[in-house]
Amino acid sequence: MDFKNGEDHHVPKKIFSKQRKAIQNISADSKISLGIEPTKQIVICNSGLSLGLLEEDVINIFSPYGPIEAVVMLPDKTYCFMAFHSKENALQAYQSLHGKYNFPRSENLMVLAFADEVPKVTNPWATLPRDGPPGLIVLEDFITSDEEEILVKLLSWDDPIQGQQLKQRQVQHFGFEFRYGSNDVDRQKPLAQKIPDQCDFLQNRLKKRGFSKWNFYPDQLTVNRYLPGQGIPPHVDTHSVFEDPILSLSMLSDVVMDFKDASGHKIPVFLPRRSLTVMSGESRFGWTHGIASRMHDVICTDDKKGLTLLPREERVSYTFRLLRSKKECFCSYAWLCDNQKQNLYQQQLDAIQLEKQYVREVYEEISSHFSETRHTPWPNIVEFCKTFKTGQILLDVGCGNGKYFGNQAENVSLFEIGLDASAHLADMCTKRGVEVLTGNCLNLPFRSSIADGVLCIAVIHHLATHERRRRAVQEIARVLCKGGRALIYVWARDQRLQDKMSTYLKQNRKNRQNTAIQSAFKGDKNNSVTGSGTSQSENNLCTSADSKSCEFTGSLPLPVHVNRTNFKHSDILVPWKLKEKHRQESNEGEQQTFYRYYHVFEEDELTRMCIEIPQIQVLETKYDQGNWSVLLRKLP
Amino acid sequence: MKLLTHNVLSSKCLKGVSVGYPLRLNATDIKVVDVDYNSEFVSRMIPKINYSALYDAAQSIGHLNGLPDAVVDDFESNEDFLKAVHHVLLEVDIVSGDLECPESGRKFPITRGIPNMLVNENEVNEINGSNGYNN
Repeated sequence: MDFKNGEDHHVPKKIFSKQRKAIQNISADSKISLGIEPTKQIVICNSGLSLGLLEEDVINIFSPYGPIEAVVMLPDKTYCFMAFHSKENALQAYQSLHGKYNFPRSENLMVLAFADEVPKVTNPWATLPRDGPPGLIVLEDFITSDEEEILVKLLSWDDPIQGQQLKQRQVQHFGFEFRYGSNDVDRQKPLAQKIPDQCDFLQNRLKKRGFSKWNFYPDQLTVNRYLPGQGIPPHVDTHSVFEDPILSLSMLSDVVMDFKDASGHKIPVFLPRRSLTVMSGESRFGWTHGIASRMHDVICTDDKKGLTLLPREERVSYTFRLLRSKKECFCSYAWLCDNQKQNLYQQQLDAIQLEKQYVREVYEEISSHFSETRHTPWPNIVEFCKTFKTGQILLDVGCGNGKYFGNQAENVSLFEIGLDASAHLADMCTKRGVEVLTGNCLNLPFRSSIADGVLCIAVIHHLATHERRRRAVQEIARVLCKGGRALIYVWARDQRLQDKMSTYLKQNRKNRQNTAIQSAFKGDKNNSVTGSGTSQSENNLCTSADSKSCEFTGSLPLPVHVNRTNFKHSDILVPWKLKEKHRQESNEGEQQTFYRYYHVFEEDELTRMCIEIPQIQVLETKYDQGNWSVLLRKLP
Repeated sequence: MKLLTHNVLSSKCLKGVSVGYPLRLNATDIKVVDVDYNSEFVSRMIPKINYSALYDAAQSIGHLNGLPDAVVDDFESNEDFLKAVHHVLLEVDIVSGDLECPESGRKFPITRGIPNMLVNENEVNEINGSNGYNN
């Protein structure tokens, strides 16, 4: 059969033009050759993960036409691929679905095309069990059907006192109650309900199956009951509360549990009915586990060749745990460790408070004076702006008063959007007629891959932890399109690289006299690059003695830097002396001083941070007038 | 705020929001401005934008001005089409109103032409990752 346009009269005409465009766009994006000549691979052109289409939907829709070889869902894409074992099945599916089938939860008609291949994404099942989370053991047929029946019948789920209804499942606790708010147990309050005697076979059975190394006498049992469609969000059993390992019996039906490590690597693990799952070592401490809330699981077919759907049924699990004698944990998975995260969390709270009080509130206060001192764009940054072409999108993250807008090359028309956390500064941008919004650099309010270029000048040094600074770069990487470039500037701790003073230092009167560089300095009083920080106008210069370049002040949380001197600390407060006319309330004769928080960067610190982010490449690192800059490219 | 900006905004950073796009647009004050027309700019922008989101947004505020519901086949050379897109992308300016997350309903006010996309730290996913809760 021929599929040339209009041949199939049941297919609406516009579907063909949609198909033609999709073939063009998706071929270019995925580098896979697509067409209307039948093959066994199909591309679903107008739905995918980013539009809410799930793997199970694809299997549901296509499995009536024959055994499915693969389904490839691509993150953040509006299309996806699937493959049959035979071309005939693919053709059948195409004829029945293309332009005729309505997507679930949507009005749109499905647009299909054939593909020469599917993208090479490893089938997670193909790597199992060899590459399962280390320390995870699934002991099949651990209990008999009779034992299963006894354990399931032990519990009454209709009794409101015995069970607890959570959002997604029912639970009952024995030995100790697990408290969901604080994710712990109260050791002082054992429950009257002990772990039922019917579970006593556990130790002997473990020994019999060759696991005598765990002399394991659990004192806490959580029983979960899941109905079809229910699940449990990804989590890790609280490190500081429970010993290693965790044991869990699966009853009444099979299920797929998803394990995920810190890098986001996901491994689905099949837990058959009547099996015992032993989560020990890395799998217990370094991976989260969860059960997706859905009506079907995607599993391997019996011949291990294809994928199929397993409908969910009622499932009961018994999870046995042993309380630690002391609330502590020294594992090497700090990311998931409540004990170690307590510290990180405190740091995070401190960071939020510090940035609020010593960055954001200050910029609101000093915005108009600040804006007056920010008018000369820095040459290297302007040069970067000139590399963009008509029709490209350039974002300025932390745009201040918008001084880098409109620096594109002649006859080039860009779309520039600025973002700043300060409402006052954003207002100043609008007055200049530029497109701006208020937002935070840690959570850019843009969809992914939309920017051809990103500027981020003198922003990241206002973030108070390494994680937050890295997150800001990660966000920039996320919004860049493939091949897109970003330029980031931060203040350098070292203001005298190779014995040359930065413009910032030169603005100190004392240094000017000492080094006789007045001529170079003339008419140049506001050209410091650190858009948000270093250069106040001349009459605001701090002229304190050079010998003392920072001091601790009782009421402030960090050392205060003495302006126009080299930095003695990495995390500091830099004073801003507000000019008389900008003050809200005027106390005569007194200059109001504000303190802004800075993290000044060591050599290579910014570059090393950027290298941590996988999707980007550092094209260039520069020391530019007391600042470190990096030029990044998102990998194509 | 121009509709081109609306086209790239998303509320995906909010906790529990999986796509956060497109944001629903409610406009209480709209101003139409003149922007120099550049056919090259518009035709290069078309493959970048989400056209149906643009169409829906323009329709929801009653400023379609003859914009067709899909990209025409010869868009690169179709001046009428490019001009219609130019107008909707760049000349319709939302002065006040709000943007609403399609999943959570969280509203982001637009005042004096500036969308306020600031979120509180407790509305977004924790920076150090999250371990969810226990079973």
